[in-house]
Amino acid sequence: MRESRLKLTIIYIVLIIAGVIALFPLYWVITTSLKQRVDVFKMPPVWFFKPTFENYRLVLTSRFPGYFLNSLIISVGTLILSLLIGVPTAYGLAKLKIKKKKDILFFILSTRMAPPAVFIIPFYFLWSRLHLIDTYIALVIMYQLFTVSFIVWMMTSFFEEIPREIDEAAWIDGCSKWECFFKVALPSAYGGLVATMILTVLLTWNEFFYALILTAFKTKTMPVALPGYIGFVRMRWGELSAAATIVVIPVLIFALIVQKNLVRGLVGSSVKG
Amino acid sequence: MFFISKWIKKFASSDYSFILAGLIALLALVVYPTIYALQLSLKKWNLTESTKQEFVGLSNYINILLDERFINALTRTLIFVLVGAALSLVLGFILAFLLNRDFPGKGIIRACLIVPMIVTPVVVGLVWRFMYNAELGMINYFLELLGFEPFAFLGNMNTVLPAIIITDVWQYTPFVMLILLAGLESLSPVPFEAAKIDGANRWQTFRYLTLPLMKGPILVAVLFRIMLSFSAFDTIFVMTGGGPGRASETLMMYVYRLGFEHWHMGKASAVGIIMLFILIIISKSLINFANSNQ
Repeated sequence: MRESRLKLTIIYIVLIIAGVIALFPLYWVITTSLKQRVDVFKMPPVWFFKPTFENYRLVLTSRFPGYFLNSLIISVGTLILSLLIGVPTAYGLAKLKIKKKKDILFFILSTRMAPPAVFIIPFYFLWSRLHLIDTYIALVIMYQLFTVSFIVWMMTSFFEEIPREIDEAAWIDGCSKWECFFKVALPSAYGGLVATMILTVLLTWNEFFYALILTAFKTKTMPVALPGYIGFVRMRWGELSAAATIVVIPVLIFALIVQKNLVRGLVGSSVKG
Repeated sequence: MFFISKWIKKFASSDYSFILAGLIALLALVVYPTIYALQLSLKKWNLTESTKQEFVGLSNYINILLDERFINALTRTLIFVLVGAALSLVLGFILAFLLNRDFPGKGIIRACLIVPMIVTPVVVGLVWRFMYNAELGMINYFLELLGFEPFAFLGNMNTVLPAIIITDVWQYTPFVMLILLAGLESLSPVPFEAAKIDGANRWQTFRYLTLPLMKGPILVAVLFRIMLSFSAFDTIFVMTGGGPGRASETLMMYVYRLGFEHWHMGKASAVGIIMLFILIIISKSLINFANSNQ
């Protein structure tokens, strides 16, 4: 389709306005994190200022690095466990002879629909009876609730894209199904696997509801710690912005790298993005 | 022992050995707790009074359905979800439509537009809370430039719900846009060329060609968008905590307060189960609606 120059200009203007609205809050957080305390609350707002890392120094010398570590341990732990459970399941559903495949896939997708409000009370009760409140393991298991189904949906669509000839060649070579899985399927779906891993970390890294209820002093994650900067007396907005930037930026960069797979992961292969 | 090890060996080489762990995990983590929550919802169980659970039948459900607080939270949630989903659908469709062509810089613009759905929801809530602030917030700053009086959007009973809907639309419209864009990109150009030759105008092409062909992606987008907002918690929790008063108390906030502020575990479970039912009804009727229009 050839577009007229005027039409293209209008499209650009609309999209750029939308882009500014989409980016503004994040831009504001990042710039605020680099402002001195006097500039943070100035009205009218200060657009140009001399950047300072004072807020980052305050955050990094507080308890925050501990929360960062907690988030990291929980995300990586969740990722490893859910890959072990989810990737073989995805391979089975994509490539092997399983009865009622469609029903199983639909069941797995439908578990993503259920509101967390249903699960939190039984699990709260279970974890407190096992004395596992405020432990890494409780949250890692809890998170399998959404990461396993996420990984199954995403990896199923990647495994399905592997051409049949590759599978058949491997079978003729006489390798067992698990050997085929490790030696042929996994390397062929490598790109998809990396994208899946990044987006799985994104999900757990950002999770708040379960972490709020199931963690306390020892295992508090960063999202749970953030609202703590809003005190009764004063709002430590500069420090909060620095902490928020630390939470958001690493996963944002990785997620944008694999953005093409975002839709596939969130709604499954019913729509390919 | 010999039989067992032989059986294990046979199983390990079967196709079902691949999906065993996944199915067990999901049954244990999803089905079992749901049944357990269903059972808890039939009990009176207040953690602050005693650890004793008392079977009370359906009285939790009856109490909830007669409770004005629940009815208000339900109405609020439905407004929050349906208005938000409708706005996201319209805005998402426009953006997807504009992005569905080749132009220089498309990749960068697309990447910028999806940032809101990737940013940690708690951070989204905190930033918007600050932006809505009457004295220091950017939104009021811009409104003042346009000649409006500063206004505490989150502190007013009447504006708090629209304010959190706007934040929600900001956060999840990119999600709708991505699904619709993927749908538009996968449409075959053939019928559109035919329509052009037949002299259909732009509105006719959209109404009788694009919309029907896009029914699947639209359904998926709306369904998931509704699901996301229905369970929205993070942003509302940090922006208002359900307040002022109960003016932004959605069902998720209600369950949280009931369970983890008042410790009424049985009653909170019952609300959770009701939420599950509502979601099932909404998704069933959406799917039926889509199928009936064929």
